[in-house]
Amino acid sequence: MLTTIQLIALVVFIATYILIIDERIHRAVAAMAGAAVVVFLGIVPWESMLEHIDFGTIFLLMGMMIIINVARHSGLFEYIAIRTAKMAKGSPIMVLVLFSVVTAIVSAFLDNVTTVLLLTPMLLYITKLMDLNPVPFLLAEIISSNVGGAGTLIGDPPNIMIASSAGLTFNEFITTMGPIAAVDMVLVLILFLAVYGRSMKVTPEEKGIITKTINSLDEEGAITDRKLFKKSVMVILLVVFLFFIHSSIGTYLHMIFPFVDPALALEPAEVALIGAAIILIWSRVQPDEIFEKIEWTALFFFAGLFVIVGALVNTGIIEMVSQYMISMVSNQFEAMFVIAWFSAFASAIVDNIPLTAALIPLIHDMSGTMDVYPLWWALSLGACMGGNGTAIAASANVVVLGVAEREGVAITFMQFLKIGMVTLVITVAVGLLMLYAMFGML
Amino acid sequence: MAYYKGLIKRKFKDVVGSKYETIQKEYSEFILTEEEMRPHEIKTILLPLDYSVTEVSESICELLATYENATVTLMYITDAHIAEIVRSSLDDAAAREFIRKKEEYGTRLQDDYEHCLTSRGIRCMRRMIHGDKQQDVLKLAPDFDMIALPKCYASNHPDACTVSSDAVLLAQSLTQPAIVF
Repeated sequence: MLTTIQLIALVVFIATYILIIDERIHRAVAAMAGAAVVVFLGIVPWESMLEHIDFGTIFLLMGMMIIINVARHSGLFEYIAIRTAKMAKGSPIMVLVLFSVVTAIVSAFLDNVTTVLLLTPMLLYITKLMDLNPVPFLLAEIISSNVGGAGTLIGDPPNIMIASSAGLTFNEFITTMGPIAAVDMVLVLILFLAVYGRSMKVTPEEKGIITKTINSLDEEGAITDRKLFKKSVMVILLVVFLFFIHSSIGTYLHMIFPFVDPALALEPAEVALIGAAIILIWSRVQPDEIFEKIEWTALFFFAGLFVIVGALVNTGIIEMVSQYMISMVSNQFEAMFVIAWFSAFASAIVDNIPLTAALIPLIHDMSGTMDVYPLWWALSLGACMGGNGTAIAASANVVVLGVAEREGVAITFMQFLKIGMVTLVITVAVGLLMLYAMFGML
Repeated sequence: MAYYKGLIKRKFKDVVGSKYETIQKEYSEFILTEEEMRPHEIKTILLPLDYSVTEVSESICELLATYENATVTLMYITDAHIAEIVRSSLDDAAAREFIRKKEEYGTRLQDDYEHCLTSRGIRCMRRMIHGDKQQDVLKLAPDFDMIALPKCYASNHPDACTVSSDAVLLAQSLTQPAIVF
């Protein structure tokens, strides 16, 4: 039987999640309002609130937002879009494959929303030139963005949250989730070519005209600031390099500066903030201009969610659910199975960010009875690939569908669901098998 | 379905805000809009002529002939300002003689162009006006789908000109498609 406090925490949690799904009230406002209720009633006191808000996630997102907003000014993304279009040489299948691969790679290292927001207009333009139905191309872009994002620590918000909470490193993500994302990406491309390949035909004459038109686009002209372009590319590469060595940076620094502690390790959030500082000082872009573009609504959304979930932790609801789960599963194999599939299907309905926020403390709570290390990967797999399930499961989906609708291309819920659910099942099943193999459970 | 559409709109607005409008504007600088991609139908073409046009361009006749069913208006313009200077510095008779000679030249030029175009199946119309060589073209241009400008149009030194400043200015100011030949 639930106590009154537990009941209030649960009602606030469910009501907030309903508001987030419906989005009649901005998701950030819904999360903050829910947090305000639990703070006001003392369910989450001030000291506890600061503990529950994961500043590792918030600062990592903030740092990456600064880097991307400065880089965007240079025309970097438009340059990538035109170069990708030219490489396809007028072939629709190549357009689908190349745009999917480029989206997956860019999404693995940069924010999914910005990636798809900047690549979608070019994809729509090319499909218009080819006089082909843009829907398969757009669906492939969405799914590639989610699959690519699953491959790295910084690729998708659920991964950032998991890494920050569980203390996982960038290299652990690359070596565990990277191969899964790569294999799943190949499977997604095979699936798309099998389903839509036949409809992607153009005559050689049409191909010639398309190639000529695309070749007339000037990628150099898309670069609005050449110096900033070079600096942006260099800082992004430096940040990615630092992510690779963040957990062992002290070893390298000690060789150059003997006074540095060889045991020094940087948090991913620190790497992102260092990158943000470098790009700001080097580019001399007005900081107020960039700070204005930080997605404060997203950051407050995360903060609010952490507080609401914190209320469930403080009142013992998470512990109750965790005890129930432990009683249902007898070993890691089963726990991974349940977490991966539950997070995948639940992410398809709730949006993977609030779902991950709720499941993280649950897994922490299970650590008393089993080694939860493999469970983090099952959660990452389910939450990221679950984003492919429905049109509202991940932000990238909403962005592409929104852009498409503004350009007169309607993708229905069912159209998305059919290919999305098939993708979800294939990618999670294959990913889970790979995880079992990696952890010697097969 | 209506709920789904509304939901996507709300979520898009909350996730993207006004960023998409900025991106659209940036892209419009180097990719064509849907309207620009649609082939522009050319039915009426204005070809301004003046004293600086010394010969008929066969190449422009060839090019204009590709616009099937188009009508070319050959408009010869005599500079009204120069005629006024002649009138004020000499007399009315001298001004009339100036205009007569220019129009005589204009008629011959129109004859030659008409022959060049009609022989290729293009219909022609003629206009003979006194006015401002730049302003009158700009004023009449909205009535036409395309403007074909002789490269030395309104030049004071037609023999030595590569492209006249008036032709460049007109090409830059016109909103219709323009060919400088």
